[in-house]
Amino acid sequence: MNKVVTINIIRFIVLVLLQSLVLRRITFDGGSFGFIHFIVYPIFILLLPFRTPREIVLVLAFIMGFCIDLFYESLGIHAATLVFTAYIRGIILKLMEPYGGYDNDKSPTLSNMGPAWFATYLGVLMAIHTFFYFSVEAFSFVFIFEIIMNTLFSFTVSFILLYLSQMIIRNRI
Amino acid sequence: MRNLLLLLLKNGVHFIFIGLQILCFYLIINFNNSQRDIYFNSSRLFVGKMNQEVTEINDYLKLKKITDSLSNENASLIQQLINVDTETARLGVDSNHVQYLVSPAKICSKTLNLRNNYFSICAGKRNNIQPNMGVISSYGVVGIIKNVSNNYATVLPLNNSLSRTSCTIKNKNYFGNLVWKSMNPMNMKLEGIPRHARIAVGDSIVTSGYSAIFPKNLSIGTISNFSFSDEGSGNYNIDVKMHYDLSSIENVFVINNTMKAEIDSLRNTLTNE
Repeated sequence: MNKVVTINIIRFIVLVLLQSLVLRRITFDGGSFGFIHFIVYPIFILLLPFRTPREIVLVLAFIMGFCIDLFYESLGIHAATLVFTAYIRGIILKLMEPYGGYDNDKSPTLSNMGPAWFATYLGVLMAIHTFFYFSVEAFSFVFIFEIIMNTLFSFTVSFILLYLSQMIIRNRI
Repeated sequence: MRNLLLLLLKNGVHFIFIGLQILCFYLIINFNNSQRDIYFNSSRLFVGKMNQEVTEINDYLKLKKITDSLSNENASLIQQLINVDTETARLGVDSNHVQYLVSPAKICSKTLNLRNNYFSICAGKRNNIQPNMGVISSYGVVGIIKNVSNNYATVLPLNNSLSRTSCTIKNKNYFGNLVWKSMNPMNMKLEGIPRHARIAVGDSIVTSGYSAIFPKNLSIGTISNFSFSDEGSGNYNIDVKMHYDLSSIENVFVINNTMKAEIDSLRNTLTNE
């Protein structure tokens, strides 16, 4: 029990710092590469254990989004996005529940659930997250072209990055 | 109260989600300049659009009132205009005397394609309408009141073969009767203009004022064509093109000549002698 909490606290801190101090500064100039943004912090919400109550997931999402917003100086945008993703996480988990249910002590990681399940789970939630994030950032569907281009590029690189990281850091809890 | 608490407990996730999202968007709008600008611009657009719609609906609902007041106003203006021309006003005998009273009415049904057409108007004895009053529109003469009931009245319009309206050619003092012989409501005939009159195509035809039904100088139409009658009569055969289409008229005004009784009784004594 304590171990899970400790791991998640460490993950929280590491992800916030990685996102807001390192990945935030990586930008590409020129052409379509300007649309690339690395977004990794939602993996914290995605990897919370199955038994975490949905209310707690939402509150944790708000706290994490708020912390990242403080670094990004965009108060509310990341928080709104992550709260939305956290809410959708509950629905997706219910939809993707395997026959016999989840092992409540575990977390939805790659090594626990297998590549096909995890790729779908990560793909759907990251796609929703990136689309919602760029929509809220633009705040108007007048910019629909920018929203879609940003979503496509950022989703692709972030998905690959997160999937690879899960293959390297094998987490069986 | 207990049910409300149960509802909150059961659906806590959704309420927390909605609450957090509202909080987030509050933060976004209050602490981010570009998003705030977009928000205020959009909401202004939306509210403006809503206000405009509501105003339009209100205007539409007020429309009947507005048309009523407009036709009343028109009636009083026409009354002033007509009475400026009357003899009493011109001579300054009695400047407060009003010879022609004008009241508005609406046409509620009409026939157009018969030889003898009739209109009916939605005003009757209650509106002080009597038989043999004149009916005009803002364009010109429409007809004469024939029969009156409490709430309705029938009008003998110009496009009825029984209709005879006393007319003159403007600025030339010949007068005749305007009758309807074709089936086209725009074409009338003017009878009784003697051959020695000098007329031209394009001369205006106006009411003569001799019948004590219509005041003088209400416009009707222009001469479109004229010829000499074949049968050796001493009169022209004049085609008159109307200025206006009787079939499209909706709002009319009824003219009450307050001196008609006096004029008629005087004429009756003349015929009785």
